[in-house]
Amino acid sequence: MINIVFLLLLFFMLAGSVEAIDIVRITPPDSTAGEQEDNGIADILMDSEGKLYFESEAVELANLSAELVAKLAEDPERQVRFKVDGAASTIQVIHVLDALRNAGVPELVLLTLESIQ
Amino acid sequence: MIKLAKPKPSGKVLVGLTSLVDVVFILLIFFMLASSFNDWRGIQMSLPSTSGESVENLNPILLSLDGGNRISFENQEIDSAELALRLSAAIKAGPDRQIIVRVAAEVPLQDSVNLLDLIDRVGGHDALLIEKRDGEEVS
Repeated sequence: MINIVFLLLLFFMLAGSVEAIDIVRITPPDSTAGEQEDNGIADILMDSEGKLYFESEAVELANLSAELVAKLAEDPERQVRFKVDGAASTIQVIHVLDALRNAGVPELVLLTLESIQ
Repeated sequence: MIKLAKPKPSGKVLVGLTSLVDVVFILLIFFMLASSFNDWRGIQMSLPSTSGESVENLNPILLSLDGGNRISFENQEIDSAELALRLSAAIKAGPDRQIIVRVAAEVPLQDSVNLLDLIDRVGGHDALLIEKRDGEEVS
């Protein structure tokens, strides 16, 4: 009995990864494109209604670019990771990306889940 | 009266197993609840700031994506199987052609990502997502 419990414990410790929980529930889109990522930790979150969160705090689009640019000024190598709900409107995503581009953010990574096929 | 013999003091100290097992159970429950088995992927998006650069001279492949996952290829509505065929033919014929996807207002991100996946599968790269009016984004 205890042997099995030990085995289960080892399995969950090694196979799973413990991640911080986002402040809003987000179901990212499934995708087959893109590169493998180690974890799903994102800088910017966007829920299905288009509300934006930066580092676990709700922000407006206007403030988001300023805060992100300030963060990037500290660490220019930093990769900006963006997690969006699959049900969010593409146009809203494009608007956010436009704002970031105008603020001088060169590139970012859109996080998706590997689709099971 | 029965006299119990005093246990002989032995050199070994026995550690209670029960408390150990309890701790292991708690650890097991923690890892079962907290671990996630998601495989994450990241779609790299570059946001070029050069607004003056024009892509029109490259004779782009025009796609448009409307609500209800309706896809048009060069202004002609087709299904995704046929799109894959025609798109791969178009990419083979002109590998340098920019792919431009015009996205309508009500399209959820999942549909757009599906279309980007399809473009990626048939060998396209540098797809440009634009709103059906203006504004743009490169993937």
